[in-house]
Amino acid sequence: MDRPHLEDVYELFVLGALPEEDSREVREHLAQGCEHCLERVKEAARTVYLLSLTVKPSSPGPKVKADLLRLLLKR
Amino acid sequence: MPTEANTGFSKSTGANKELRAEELLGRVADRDVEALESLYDEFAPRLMGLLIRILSSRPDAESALQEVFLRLWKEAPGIAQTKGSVAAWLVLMARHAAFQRLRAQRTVAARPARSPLGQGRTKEEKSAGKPADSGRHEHKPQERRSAKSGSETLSFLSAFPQLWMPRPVDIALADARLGLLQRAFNQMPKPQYVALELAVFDGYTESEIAAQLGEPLGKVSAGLRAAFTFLRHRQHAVLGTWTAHI
Repeated sequence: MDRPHLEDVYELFVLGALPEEDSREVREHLAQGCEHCLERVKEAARTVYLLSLTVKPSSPGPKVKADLLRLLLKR
Repeated sequence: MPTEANTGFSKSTGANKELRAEELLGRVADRDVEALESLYDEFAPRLMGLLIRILSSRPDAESALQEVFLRLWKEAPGIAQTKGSVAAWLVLMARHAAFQRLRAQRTVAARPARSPLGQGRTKEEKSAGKPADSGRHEHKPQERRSAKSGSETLSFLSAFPQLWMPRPVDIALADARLGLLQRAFNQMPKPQYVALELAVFDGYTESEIAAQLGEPLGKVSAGLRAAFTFLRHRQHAVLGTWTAHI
């Protein structure tokens, strides 16, 4: 990937769907603090967020919350 | 794709909920258990729906859900400092928790059965020296590298939320227009949508999707990029103006 910015890969990056070589390049690019790409990765995260919410909600059993609170109070 | 009615999310109250969530996160950072309980009540059904879709198991989904909220409790001070959207953090971390489990399950499924007598293998497999589970679950070296990449990326995102967390106001705006966005997403060409689902809900990498669909990697890769370009354009249209024609 020799583009100055990595325009069309960020959604796949956030999904963890890129090949390792490309993924490493993205991680290094973001770590350099490229403002343009940091904005793009935030936009990509929003897209993944929206896609993830296209499934039907389902209530967890009441025991899950009770167990969670019990674990928190133990800490 | 499910419709707006499936989301359990009220368009009129979406923005308020998102903005209230940030206030609750601040209280969780100050060790307020009731605030965490409120966040759980608000987000657990949506996260649970996502986790069941990915893991296909209610007990596994409930376990992953608990893991996400324990993690929120532990990391709340750092997350609050990023000033990012807690809703987006919860969804992305739920995905992370689910795919860690899914990949572990797939690794176990791909491992050759340990049977000194080779029970369960066909005569052809035995004579060819193939492992017991060398059929459709076999993971080629390239696929294993891809899975590793996915795992490392999710760990990176998990470790550096400040790099990717969208602003609460952006998530609030998207939530408020979720129905419009979903109608736009539904207009995606079917072949692209199939590949997209494998990435979004099955946690497959590009090369794994190509193997699943029996298509060349280049074609799948181009199709996925086109799908996200489509989604970006639709989001810009919907979020850029209320009068966008989609």
